[in-house]
Amino acid sequence: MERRLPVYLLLDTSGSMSGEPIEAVRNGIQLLVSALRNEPQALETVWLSVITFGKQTGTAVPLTDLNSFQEPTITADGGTPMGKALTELKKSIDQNVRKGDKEKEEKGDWKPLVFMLTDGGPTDGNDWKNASNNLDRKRIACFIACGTPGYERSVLETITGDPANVIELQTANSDQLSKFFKWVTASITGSVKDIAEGEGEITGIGSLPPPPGEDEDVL
Amino acid sequence: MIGASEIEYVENNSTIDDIAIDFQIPNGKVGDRYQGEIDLFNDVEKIKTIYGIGKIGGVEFDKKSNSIIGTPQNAGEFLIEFDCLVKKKKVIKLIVNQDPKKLWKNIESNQEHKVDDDSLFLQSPKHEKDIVVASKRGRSHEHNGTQRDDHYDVRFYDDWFISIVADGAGSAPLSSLGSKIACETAGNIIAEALADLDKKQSVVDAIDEYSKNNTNAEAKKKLKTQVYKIIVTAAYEAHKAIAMEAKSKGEELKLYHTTLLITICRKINQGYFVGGFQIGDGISAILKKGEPVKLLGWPDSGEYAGQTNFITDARIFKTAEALMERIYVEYIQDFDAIYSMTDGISDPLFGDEKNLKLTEKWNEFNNNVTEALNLENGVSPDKNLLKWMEFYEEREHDDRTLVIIL
Repeated sequence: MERRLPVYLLLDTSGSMSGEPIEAVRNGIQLLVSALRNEPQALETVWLSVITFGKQTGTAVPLTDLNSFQEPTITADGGTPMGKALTELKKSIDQNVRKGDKEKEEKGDWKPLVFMLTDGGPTDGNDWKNASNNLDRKRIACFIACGTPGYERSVLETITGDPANVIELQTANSDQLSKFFKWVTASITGSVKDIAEGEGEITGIGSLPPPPGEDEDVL
Repeated sequence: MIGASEIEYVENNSTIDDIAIDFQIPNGKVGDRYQGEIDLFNDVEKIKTIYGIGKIGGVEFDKKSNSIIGTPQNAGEFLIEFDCLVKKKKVIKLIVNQDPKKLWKNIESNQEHKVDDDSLFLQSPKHEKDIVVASKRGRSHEHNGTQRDDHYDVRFYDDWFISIVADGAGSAPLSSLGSKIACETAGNIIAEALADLDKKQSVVDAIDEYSKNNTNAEAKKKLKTQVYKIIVTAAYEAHKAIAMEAKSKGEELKLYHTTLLITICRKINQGYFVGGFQIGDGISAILKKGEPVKLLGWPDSGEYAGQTNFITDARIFKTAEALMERIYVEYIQDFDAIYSMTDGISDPLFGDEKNLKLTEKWNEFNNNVTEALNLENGVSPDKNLLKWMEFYEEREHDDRTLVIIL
C-alpha cells in the first residue's frame, strides 16, 4: 500500500506580510514544489497541503500529490487567526492522513511534517490556545514553527510543543525567507530519504539539517 | 486602435426599448460641431458594421479617435450599433511534469565491499542443472551513490548445489558488509560440512530413507535433524563471523543487520533432495510445471512496525525448536526451477505475502523469468537476468537478487 508523507505548510497571510514577505512566500512555495518535483523519491511519497491564516483563513490547497499540485493565489491582508489554522490542520489530518491498522496489517501513511511561518502574534484571543490543545501531536512527526520579527516565541513554543522546534529569521525579507523555504525543502527531502532507506520517519528537529539562522552556510 | 479594414454602414430600425445600451455619449446639438468619444473598444479587435449613423446626418465614426465626429443635421434619440469582433485574450497555465524515470540518477558507489551489479552463470558437466544468479543494486542506492546491500554465494560442491542469498537492512550502515560476510561464511561452512565424510554420509543416509517414503514422519524428522546440523551451523557461524567483525571494529552488531536464505540441493536415487532455511524476508521455492509450488521457507515479518528478522539478532538462535521450524525438506522426482530471492524481487513480482502461496503467481513469475533469461541471443543468461532486473516499478527501488537452479 502506498505510504504517503504528508507535508503541511501553515502560512501567515496577515496584512503585515504584504509586499516583500508575501512575494517571498509565493516564490518559496514555487521553488519548494519545483525542487521536490525533481526528486524522484519525493515525487512518489510527498503529498503537500497549504493552509493560510490572515483575512483568508483555511485550506488554500488540500493534501495533494506533487504531480497534481497547483500553487494557490496568496494575498496578504487582515489579522492573524492562528486558532482557525490549527483547527483546519487538525481537521485535515483527521480526515486525510491514513492511520495504520494492526489487525488488517496495513501500515497507513507516514506521520505528517508541519512547517508554520508567522510574523506576529495571534489575534484570535484564546482560540489559538484551545486549538493548540486539541491538536494531537502524537499524530504529527514534527511540528516546526518559524517566526520573523514581531512573532511571539512563547506562543510558537506552545503550539509546536517543543522550544527546540521554534526557529527565527532576522528579517522577513526575500533573502531570509528564501533560505527558510530552501531549508524546508531540504528537510522534506531528507525525510523522504530516511523513509526510503528504511530508517522510518523523523522524530524531531534533530534529524533535520540545521535550520537557517543557526548556520548561515547550511545550504 | 481598432483594425483598419473597411467598415460597413447600414441603417437600423432598433428603438431604445428593445436594446440594451452599453454606453451613452455626450449630447449634441443640431448644427453644432460635435465630437463624442466612445470608451468601449478596449477588447475590440475589429468593427465590422455600424448601424444607424446615417439617420443622424452630417456625422461619421472616426477610427483614429474612436469618436463620432461631425455636425449633426437631425434631432432625436439615436441608437448606433457597432457589430464588433472582440479580441479578449484568455491565458491558461499548463504544468507538465517530468517523467519520473528520467529523474533517477545512477552514481557509482565506492564499491568498497562489492561491485554494484553482479551476476554468475555456473555450469558443470557433472550436474544436469545449472545455476544462474544476478544481484542488482537498487535505484535508491544508485540515486544516492551508495553500495548494494544484497549479496549471494552460489557454488557446486561435490554432488551438491549450494545457494545463499542475503539482504542487508537499508537502515544499517554496515549491512553491505554484513550480507557479504553472512554469505561467504555460510557457503564455506556448508562446503566444509559436506567435505566431512561422516556428516555427509549421515545426511545422505537420511535423504535416502526419506526418498523411499516421504510420508514417513520419523524419516522426515531424522532428515531435518541432519540438515539442521549442516545448515543451522552455517547460519550460526555466519552470525559469529559478523559479530567478530563488529567487535574488531568496535561497532554494534545491529549496524550489520542482514537476512539470510540458504538452499541446498542434491541429486539422489533418480530424484532430487532440496533443503531450505530462511531468516528474514525474501523467499525460496521449487517449481515444476503442472504441480503446486513447494515453498522452502516463509518470510519473517517482525513487529507491526514493518521490520523483519535478521541473522545478526542473537535471539534467532535461542531455541533449537524455533530453528527447526525454519528447516524445510523436499524430495522430488525432478524440477523445472528452484528459486531463491530477496524481497527486492518478491515484493514487486508477488505483491502481498499471501500471493507467495499461489501456484499461478509462481507460474507467471516463472514465465517472466524464463523469457528474461533468453532476452538477447548470444548473451549469457545471467547478463540477461541482470538486464531484466532493470525493470521500473514505482516505489520498488530495493536491491534485487535472484538465484535460479534450473
